[in-house]
Amino acid sequence: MPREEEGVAIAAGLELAGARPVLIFQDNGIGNLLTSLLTLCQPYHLPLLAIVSRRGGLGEYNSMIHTISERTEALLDAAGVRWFQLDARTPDDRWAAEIERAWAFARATHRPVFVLVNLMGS
Amino acid sequence: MTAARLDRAQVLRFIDAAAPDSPVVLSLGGISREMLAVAGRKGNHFVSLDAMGQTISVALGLALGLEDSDPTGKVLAVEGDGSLLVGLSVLGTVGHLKPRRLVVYVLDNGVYLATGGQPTAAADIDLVTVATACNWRGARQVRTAEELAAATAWALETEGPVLVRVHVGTAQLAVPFFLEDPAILAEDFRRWLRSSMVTRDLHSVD
Repeated sequence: MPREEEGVAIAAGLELAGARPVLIFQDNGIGNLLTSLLTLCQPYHLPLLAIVSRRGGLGEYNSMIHTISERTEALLDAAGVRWFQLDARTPDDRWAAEIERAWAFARATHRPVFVLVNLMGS
Repeated sequence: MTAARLDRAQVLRFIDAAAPDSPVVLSLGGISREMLAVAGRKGNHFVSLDAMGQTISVALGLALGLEDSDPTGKVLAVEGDGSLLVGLSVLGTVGHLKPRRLVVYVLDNGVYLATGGQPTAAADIDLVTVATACNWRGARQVRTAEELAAATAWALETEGPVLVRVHVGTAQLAVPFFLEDPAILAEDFRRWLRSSMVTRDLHSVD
């Protein structure tokens, strides 16, 4: 997808058709998808799993990306989007099962669920 | 002298009659409320009330998700020019993924009608050329009822993705606001899909 909000809407159509869409993108694209998430997936009760790779924390090598990346949780909280963290505290061999659980939780609660994945360690 | 433009409601009535058994994704309040006025509440219509710019993307996801269920059937999107310009990137995505079932109507009135009729940039954009340049299988534009009928017959029998730009006027029907709970709209549409075609029914298991 060229833009995160477009991905949200494509995933919404796939979900309506009975598929199991998963969005994968980096956290600095959060701002691009809030409107379509809150005008489509949240009010229409469309479950959606988003896997969001984190930037802007310890180990960051870019001088500006933290400005939006470190606000990811706050933006999602303000938007009422349920999120879970997946980082070095979870053993590698549990990650696949945790992502399965997040998808099941999105289905069970009829809403988007985001998994914030930190590959930088913390 | 220029002929009178097609009315949007007239075009919507025609599209509904031409595709009574196909999924149709309707864009935003104006188009959705007028379709409700001329066609009533239809199981095959998915009403996307506020996700501006995302109508074609929703239909793209549907067309991809239904690819194996009924390869000859169509998935329609009814988009406006203002909304299209919010999410123009999807034209590239569609041309890249080439969903064979996708038929997109752009009802082009040239203005942002819901916010007071400010002009859009659509008047200066050749959408037929844009879609074709984005690798769509075909695109046409129409200005009259006869051209609309011919383009629709072509669109429904041609392998997608195809785009039909329909130049319409700015006349609007006097219609009431539509206040249905969106969660019910989504579930009604899912039920229609399940009852009308073979979908990967993942909603009833787990």
